[in-house]
Amino acid sequence: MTNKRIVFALALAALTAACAPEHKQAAIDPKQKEVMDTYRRPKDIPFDKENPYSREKADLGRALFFDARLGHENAVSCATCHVPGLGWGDGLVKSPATLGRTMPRHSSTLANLAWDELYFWDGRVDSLEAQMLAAVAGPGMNTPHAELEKKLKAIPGYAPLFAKAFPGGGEAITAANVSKAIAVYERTIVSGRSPFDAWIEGDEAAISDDAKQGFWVFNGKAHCAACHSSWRFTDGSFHDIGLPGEDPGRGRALKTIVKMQHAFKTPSLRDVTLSAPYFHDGSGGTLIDVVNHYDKGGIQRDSLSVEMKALGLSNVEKRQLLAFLATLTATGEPTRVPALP
Amino acid sequence: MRRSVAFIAGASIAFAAALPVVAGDFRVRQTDRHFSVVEIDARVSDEIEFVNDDKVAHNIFSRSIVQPFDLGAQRPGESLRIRLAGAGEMKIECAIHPKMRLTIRVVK
Repeated sequence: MTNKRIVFALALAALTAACAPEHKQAAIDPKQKEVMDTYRRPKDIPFDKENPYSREKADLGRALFFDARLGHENAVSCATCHVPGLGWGDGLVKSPATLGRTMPRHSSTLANLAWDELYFWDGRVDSLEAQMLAAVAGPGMNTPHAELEKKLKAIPGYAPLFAKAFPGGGEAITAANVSKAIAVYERTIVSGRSPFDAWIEGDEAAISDDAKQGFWVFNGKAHCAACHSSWRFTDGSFHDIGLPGEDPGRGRALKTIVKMQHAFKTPSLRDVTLSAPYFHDGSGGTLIDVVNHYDKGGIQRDSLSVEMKALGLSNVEKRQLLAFLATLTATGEPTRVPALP
Repeated sequence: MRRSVAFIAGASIAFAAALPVVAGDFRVRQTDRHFSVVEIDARVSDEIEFVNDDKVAHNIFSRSIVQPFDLGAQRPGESLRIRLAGAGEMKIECAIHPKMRLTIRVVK
């Protein structure tokens, strides 16, 4: 499905243009400029042509996303584990699940997923629609699809919202349509502009000299951009970064591929200061823990990504990296939680 | 005859996608986390050479019934080859970068 995407213009352009700063230009080396240009924000969100954007679908999806009535005992929503103010994570090492269970992995960010190809830490589904259907029925929300439909039909305010979002007659309140609406909403979750964006667009005063140095450490000695590339600070790739544990990650689906054992999807670093703890297992408590892990190079094993190596970073370089990462935190308005039907 | 299907600039990838390559042996380049071509029409016993012109490692594999394989980690600058063993359609992927996909249609 994801191969059939079309690019659908949204109001991201307004976000970009309206916030354009007064630039304090400085001469930049052409090679450095070339690197910086790879981090420019896009103007459009790629939606799925089989589930195109509509305002009605996005609004319905937003309501469903924040509605705890979708989950077990009417007490768990998507936003329970994906909190906008926590970088779309939940601040926990691993989220509590239903029936006294614990989720097997750390809650990951939901920002900027419209550009991804595979979903969940292990890439086991290839669309946000499929991700939502799996998540609602999984241990986190524990609502079988038939029960989900029954619950929503019992809330009178949802019928007109579904009818507007899915016109054409027939039963609109279906699990498939829930997944389509939430997926459309999730594709609109795009990290806001940050000081880093202003710097990339030419405002030399937007970030500190330490942060600028950190950006070049990020793209050079620290080798972070081998995976955390582009404006999203991820290329959607899968790597074993050498953390302890038996979780096969992507290797569950690709059992015979050595490099996919213990491999997990590279997360976006936008708003990374908000989304502690870090890694698929939540074992990185702070960003300096993360930097120190990469500095050491991870557990040596056959599956370890070839991009992993001991870095030999100085304390100054580590400090510069942290200063740079802090510039990726958006400065705009927070996400509004909708009134529910 | 080696028929290179390498398109030097990333901007040429869309053009390459519209033009299936026919006959001969083939060279597929990996640049900017893309294959230089997305479709190849080939014959049994043709050779496909995968050249990593990227700045990052790749891991080319196929789950196709006709010829499953895993080339393992391929570092920048490395070149790896497969010889097409049977007729059918092969979906080629990079395990590390799932956006990288290539279809090889193999005839006798």
